[in-house]
Amino acid sequence: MANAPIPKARVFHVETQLHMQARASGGVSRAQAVKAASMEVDKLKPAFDEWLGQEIALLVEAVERAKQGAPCGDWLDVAMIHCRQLHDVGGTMGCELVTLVADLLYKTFEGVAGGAECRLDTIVCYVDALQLVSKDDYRAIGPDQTPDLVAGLRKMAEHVNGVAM
Amino acid sequence: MRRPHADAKRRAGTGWHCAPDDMTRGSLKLYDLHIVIAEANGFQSTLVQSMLRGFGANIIHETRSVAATMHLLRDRRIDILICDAKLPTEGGFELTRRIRRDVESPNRIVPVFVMASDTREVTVNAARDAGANMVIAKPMSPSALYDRLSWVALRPRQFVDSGSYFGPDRRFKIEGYPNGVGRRSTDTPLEVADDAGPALEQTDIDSLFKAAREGRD
Repeated sequence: MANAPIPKARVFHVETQLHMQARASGGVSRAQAVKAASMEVDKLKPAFDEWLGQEIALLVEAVERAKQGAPCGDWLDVAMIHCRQLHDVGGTMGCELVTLVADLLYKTFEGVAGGAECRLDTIVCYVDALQLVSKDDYRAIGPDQTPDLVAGLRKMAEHVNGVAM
Repeated sequence: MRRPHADAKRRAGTGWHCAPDDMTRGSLKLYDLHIVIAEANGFQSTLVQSMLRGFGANIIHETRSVAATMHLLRDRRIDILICDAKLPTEGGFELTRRIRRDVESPNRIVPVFVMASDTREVTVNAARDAGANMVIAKPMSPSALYDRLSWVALRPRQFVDSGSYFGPDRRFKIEGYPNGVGRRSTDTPLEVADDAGPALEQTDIDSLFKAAREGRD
């Protein structure tokens, strides 16, 4: 039996407004743009403080429901959303440890969502760590400055998830 | 999600094919461009908006879901879409696919940037196959966002319509094919030369591919 002919792909050039403007004069240089953007981000720091407190409170609330014996469906999705949001924003706002701990906690949640045993002691430990690293004293500290804490958290994640973190 | 502290510079942004040196050349002009940020996390959306304003953007729309974004795109032509991979409810990849598939849409060729917390290879490939131009890893920095925007603005790629895929050419990293050898009718037929030297060890090949994936030279 003869093979059906393979349809040819149409390959064509596109010109968008972004491309046209990139070639035009009058753009913002990388150095200027990054400096201005960093200043804009700095202006958000007061709002970030408030947001960080709210996100952690909502995560704690979800985990409290788990501690009271609520089924996963009642708390896991909410906890994952807030954990991911903490991961996504923390690093941009200079809180690398928040991103790190949220990353490890999220992987634990992913494991639970995938059918792994729900180890509440581990989850609570991560939430405690998140509360700790969100405090002013820890915000400007990077993971390389707290090797023992990071190693401990990673070891716990490896133990729970069974893979290297 | 990726390990956040081990590779801070790489983490700042992920294109499946990046050449950092090229991305830092030229300048961006975002003034008067219509930019949509599709992100459910309000603070993340504000962060991206602040960065874009720093870059000179002045017309920025925000949406919080796939449905709201599709609704917005029905009514107007936009110039850049920056969406979250986990945008409720169907996700940023599905949003990208819908935009690319819609033959009636004035936004079918809009540059699409997908922001993702998880930049495992499978996720990046999924974004590419959906028709996204670039993946930006979260958390992101202003320089990473600027570089990704510059890359797409200054290095336009051809579009491919193959029936099963509509979007930017997905092969833009593999520039090593000699004289365009490949599977397409416009590519040069394959000719194999005599051995010019000893073959690479598999570990050497792996490191080359690893470096390429990570956007290093």
